[in-house]
Amino acid sequence: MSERIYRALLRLYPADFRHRFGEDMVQLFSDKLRDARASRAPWGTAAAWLAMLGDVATTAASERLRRNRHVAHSMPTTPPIEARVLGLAGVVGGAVLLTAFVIDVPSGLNALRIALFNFGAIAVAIALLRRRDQPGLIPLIAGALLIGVSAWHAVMALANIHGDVLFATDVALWLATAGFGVIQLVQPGLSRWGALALSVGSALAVTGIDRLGLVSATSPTIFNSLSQAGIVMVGIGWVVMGIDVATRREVVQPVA
Amino acid sequence: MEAISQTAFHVLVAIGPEERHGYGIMQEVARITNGATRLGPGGVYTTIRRLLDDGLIEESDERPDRDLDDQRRRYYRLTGVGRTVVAKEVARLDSLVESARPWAMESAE
Repeated sequence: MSERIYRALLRLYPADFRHRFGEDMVQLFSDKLRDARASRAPWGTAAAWLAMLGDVATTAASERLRRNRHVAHSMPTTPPIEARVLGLAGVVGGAVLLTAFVIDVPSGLNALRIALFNFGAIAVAIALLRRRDQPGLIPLIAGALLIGVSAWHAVMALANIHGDVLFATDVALWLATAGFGVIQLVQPGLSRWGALALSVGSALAVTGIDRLGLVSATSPTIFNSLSQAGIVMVGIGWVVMGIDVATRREVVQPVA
Repeated sequence: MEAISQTAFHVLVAIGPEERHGYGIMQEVARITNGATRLGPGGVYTTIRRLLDDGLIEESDERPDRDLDDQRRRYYRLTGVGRTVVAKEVARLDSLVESARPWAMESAE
């Protein structure tokens, strides 16, 4: 029983320390408790327990402090210049998407606006793929998919292509953005707000695609408002993600 | 390397020229300090972790006494750097004691 309680207390130590010395500490604890019982001193076992609780409290705290200092030292003081440039592109892309809600964009510049928005998304996705705290196959696939679809969407906008291909590309863009946002929600190292805005915003924005028949120019439905709100959220999401990748340090676990 | 702490020095001296496991170190520290320092498992192994990371001690595969040996236990011994650090600390303390001896002992009498 005592050993089980002590094992539970060991969870107060950092995981790397526990894995390295946990079993040795349990054995030492058992030895010390055995000595206390053998001494037959009044309150011997209770005194040993009390001393060991104090030992755990002080040394677990010091190990955690040491580890935190170690992690802090392993971080770069500022993100690399490439991350700053790519993040800035993301901010510009998100801001450009939002401009249509603030000013009347001349029709001649609309294609450029959409392309800039796509380039911003590509830039942020590239910046995140370069980060060492974004390991794993799923973020890689989600990022690559978003980059591919965004690049194709930019080409469609600049080449002024419409019809079925544009419809399919629009759907693919919002779904890829929503998927990317959901994946980023569970990744470490970044604020969750940008990813949340991207995932929810894209899911709403997809309802605004004309061919789906959920919106109407003559008699607006609730999806007119929801899809517009979704696009605003996506714009804000890319601005937040851009600021995040440009300013936030990577969380790199030190080698034990 | 940071200045060595009193606990770390106690552990280095407790290991001494031999190989010792955690329980042996704990008992030896209590003995050489006349019971003034009693380390718990956390105190022993956080110090061992620090000394291993600083290269002052290393794990030993040798078993000093096979009859008394417990295969589950890990033994530690001083490295060359560890011996040098102990020697320097002993010299520093020795100098300190020599400086204080002429007057401190008179005061005590």
